[in-house]
This record gives sequence, structure tokens and C-alpha cells, in this order.
Amino acid sequence: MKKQKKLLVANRGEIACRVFQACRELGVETYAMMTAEDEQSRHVTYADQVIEVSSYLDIQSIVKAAKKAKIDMIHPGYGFLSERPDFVKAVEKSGITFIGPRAQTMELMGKKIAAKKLAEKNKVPTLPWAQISDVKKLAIAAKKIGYPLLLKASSGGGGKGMRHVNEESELLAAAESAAAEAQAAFGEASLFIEKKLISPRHIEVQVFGDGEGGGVHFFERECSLQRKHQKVWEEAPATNLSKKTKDKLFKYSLKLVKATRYKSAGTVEFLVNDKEEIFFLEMNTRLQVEHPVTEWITGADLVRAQIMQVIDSKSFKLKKTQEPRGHSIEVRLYAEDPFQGFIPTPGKVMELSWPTGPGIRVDSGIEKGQEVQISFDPMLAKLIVWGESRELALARLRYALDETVILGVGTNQAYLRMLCDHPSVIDAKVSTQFLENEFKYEDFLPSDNEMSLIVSASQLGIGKRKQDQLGSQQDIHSPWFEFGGLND
Amino acid sequence: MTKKIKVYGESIELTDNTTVWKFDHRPGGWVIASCKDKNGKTIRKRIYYTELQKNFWVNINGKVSCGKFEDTRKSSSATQTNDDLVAQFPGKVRKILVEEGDQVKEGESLILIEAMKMEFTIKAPFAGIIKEVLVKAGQQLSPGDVYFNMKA
Repeated sequence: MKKQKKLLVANRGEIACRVFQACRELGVETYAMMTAEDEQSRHVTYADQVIEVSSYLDIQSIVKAAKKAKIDMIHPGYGFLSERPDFVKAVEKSGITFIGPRAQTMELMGKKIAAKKLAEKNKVPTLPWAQISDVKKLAIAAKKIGYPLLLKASSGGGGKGMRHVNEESELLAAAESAAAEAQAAFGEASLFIEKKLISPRHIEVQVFGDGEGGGVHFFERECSLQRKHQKVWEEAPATNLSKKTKDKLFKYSLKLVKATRYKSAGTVEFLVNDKEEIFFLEMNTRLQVEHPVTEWITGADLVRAQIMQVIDSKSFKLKKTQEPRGHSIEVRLYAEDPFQGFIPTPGKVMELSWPTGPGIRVDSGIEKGQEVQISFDPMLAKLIVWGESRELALARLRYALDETVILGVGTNQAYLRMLCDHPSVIDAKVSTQFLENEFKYEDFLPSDNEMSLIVSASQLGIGKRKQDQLGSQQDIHSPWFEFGGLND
Repeated sequence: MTKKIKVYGESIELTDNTTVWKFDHRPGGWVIASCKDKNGKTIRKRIYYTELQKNFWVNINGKVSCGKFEDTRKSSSATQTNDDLVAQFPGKVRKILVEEGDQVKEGESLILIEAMKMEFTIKAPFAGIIKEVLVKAGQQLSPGDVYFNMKA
């Protein structure tokens, strides 16, 4: 009998749990990593074994612990070290297999500038851009490209280290704060500037490469609904986009797969304007948060494919793409308060209940009773739905959001629910500017009747009752309470 | 005495104090709240409700809201000095952009806070002078900590 393989997920929360599922289906032993402050996190519960590390960004500590535990493979998830070539090198140097593209591909694509040059070389259109090597020359370069523009971190993604600059007066302060954020998030502060399109759509293509220049695409995703460059809502396939444009997107993406001899799962991001002109944005050399929508319309299991590719590279064959089926939407539940300017809302998850039923998938990183920490990303979970049509998918999303219960921490749940009813969302006519410039969020204020319900519930201690106290308190012995009036 | 609830920062007076609600705890955590409307028809709502200190969170038929029960015995203006700028969420002070004695405009950025791997800018709620800076760069903050004392 073959020795069971061991896989460490160098990540936390929902994505670690997602990878663990694929591991268990493949008979691979699962290892989680954990820092002292993250002891309560959900992925720690679901792993076969747990390795304690000093920090999720500490390459030496992680590789050393992995080597000691005789780990065969490391899956980096997304964020953290997932796009750090030095991590890949350290992992491979220690004799452990890294699941993802080669360090050299990451290095190239991680340097957004080198990536742009590569795209240009392969006749993939890019936005006008300039590198910032000297802060003193920043204003000159910015003028040349023209305002408005974007300041971006040369490494990293997810909107961190990115700033909008509308005019010259904002430039220096924006550059400083973006550099600091990039330093904190990716350990590197270098920036570049790029022309900002007015209301583009964000369309990306899921690819999977064999590492030899061959590869397949798994169609496109539309991720135009973003706030501060943080994706909030993703769909596959894109609506209101011509087949001709889609085919171009696939062609460009596969060109880059070929040029980099891309291995494993990756995403090529584009901006598309209202004339359906395409601009290459960047390539993300990792599995993405929104991979489930692609999995749902293609039937692929991207994580399973990633693992199988490294377990048995010889017999692993990339499956040809089939036509996508139906429509899938993902929303990200964040610990933030949309009403108070999206301030973070850490706290204790006091009540938690997830929806189930046809066409509903929940990739969660939280459990009831868990403290949501301030030191980590605010994403709590992803709610993903599928329907034969977009209309059905949207109806399912409404249902799924209504059935979602996360109490004790503030979330953007009501915000997402309200989005489902917006005419532009219903018609799939949104751009990357929609959430910040067009969408007006209003909180749900309870009606008089609902208010009286809340007060009654409070006075009867409905929220304080715990399952384990059932029957132990005399006045809540009966399943029915009656409450007469609210006179103090 | 009138009952007040703050929902999403908005203070709401409770006007309906005659409805009689019944609560049925369902296995699994949902609670069925029911009452009779004017015509005697039963209104049935599926809720999840939880409370911590004076804060509550509720899901009523899928609609989510959270808020705080206000203590009507205390007058709200007496409990807080309006000039203290108070942290609403935990985080770490990344940079303080003003000094004591600075004159600031309404909406001017005062301090950068790092939380959940994001940077947040705290802006002046009104024009005035920074009387006192009560935090240091790198300091960990809890909700309720005072950033600055400001005078209009």
C-alpha cells in the first residue's frame, strides 16, 4: 500500500477548509497551520493535524514546521504567501511540493510591471501605465498618463495598497499611504501608476496550465461589483457580453498561459469598457476566492485538479472545456458595517445558521461561538448559488441570504440582500464604479410592529436562552411564552 | 416612560406597545414570533434573535438589523463630552496626521487606523482645534478609546 500523502494548507479560515475537503476526497491527510491568536479558527477543527507557527507570513517558521511534520505538499490558498516566489522556493528547497505555479511565473506575474511587458510582447492589450522608481518624478509620469489614475502595489492584489488619484494634489499623500498598506499586506512597498477607465467592467478568465505551455480555460467570471477594489459579488458566466469578446478574452488568456508555461490554476484579469475593448489588468497566480462560481458552471473541481496534478503529474490530463451550464453567483460576507462607513465589526459569532437546499453552497470560515479577530481579513464566508438561468440564480441568492443567520458580529448581509433587488444588478448592467458611485445603501429599519417584536423578545430573554439551558429555568420551561404589553 | 431603541445609529421611539407577541422556540434555533393583527389574523414571523449587554441582533424573515437599547433614565448629552473623538472599532494606530494645537477643517483626515488588514481614515466630524492627542502611533485601540480631544 502506498503511504498516505500529507498536505499542509498554508492558510486559514474558509479556503483551508475548502482544500481539506478535496484532500479528504482524495485520501490525503490534512494539516492545518495555526498561530496562537487564531486558535479558535474553523480550519483548526477540520484538520487531521495542526502545526503551530509564529505567523502566517513567516516563511522560515512554516517551512521548518512543515519539514519536521514530513509534509509532502503545501497548498497556499489565496492571500498570505500564495503569490510569494520566495515562499515557493523555500518550500521546494526543503523537498516539499508546492501546489501552484512555478516561482519564476509568480515572480514575473507578481511584478505587475513585468507582467504588463509580457502582455505587450504577446499582443495582449494593456492600459497606459508607468513605473514609479523615484517619488520626485511621480508627478511628471502621472501627468503623462493623465488623471484620473490608479496607484497600485507592484506586488499583491485584493485592492490592498491601491489608491484612486483624481488630481495632482492628491498624488503624494496617496502614494505614501498606498506604499505603507502594501508594505503591511505584502511585505513590499513598490508602486506603479495606471490609467483609470471611467466605468469599466471587471472580467476575468479562469485558466489551468499543464506547466509545459499547454492549458485550458474555464470560461469567464464577472467581478464588477467591488468596493475599494475588494470584490463583493462575482458571477459566471458574464451577462451582456458578446461571444466575440469572450472568445478574445479566452485567446489572450491562453496566450499568457503559453508564454509563462503556466502550471496549475490561475486567473487572467481584464477590464472591458462599454465598447467591449479589452485591457489586460494582471494575472493572479493562485486559486481565487471566487473559484466556486467557475466550478459550478463547468462541473470542474479546481482544487482537486490542483492536487491531482502534483500527486501524479504523468497521468494527470487537463480536461477539455465543455460549454458552461447555468449561472452561478457568489457573494462575500464580510465583518463590516455598511451603515457606518464599512468599519470593521469583529466580535463573537453568537448565532450562526446557514441555508441549505438546491443550488446553494456555503464556503464558511466561521463557527458559532467563535471570536472574529481584528488581525485577519474581514471575510467571514462565501455564499454561492447556482441556477439554470441567471434569474433563478438571483432568486436563490435572495432566498439564501434571507436564510443566513450570523448574529453577534455586524455583517454586510443586509447590504448584499439589498443589492439583489437593485434594477442595475437585476439587469446585469454594472461597472466597477457601481457600488461606490451609484448604489445607495439604506439600512433596514424595523417597522413599529417589528420594533414591538424586538422589545418583546428582549424582555422575555429570547436572545439569552441557550440550548443547554432548556428546561433548567422555570419561566422558559414551556415552549410558548406569552407577553402582555410593554408598559415599563 | 417611552422606550427608545437605537437601530443603526438612529434613535427610534417605540410607539406600538399593545401588540402581544408569542414566541415558539423551534429546534435548531429559529424562533416563531406570532401576534394577531387588527382583524384577528395571525401574523407569523420567523426570527433569530440574540442580545449582548444592551446590543441586539435580529433576523426577521430574512431582514437583518442590529441596534442598542437606550437607557432612557440617563440624559444622553450628560454622559459624553462631545469633544472627545472616540474609536468605534478596535485597531492599531498607523499614523497620526495632526498635532496638538492644529486647526482642522470638517472632514479633514486626522488619523490612520489599521484593522483587518485594511487602512481606515478617521476624519474630523466638525471644524475645530485639536486640544489633546491621546493616542500614539503603533498603539492598539479598543472601541471607546479616545483619539483626540477637540474643540469646535
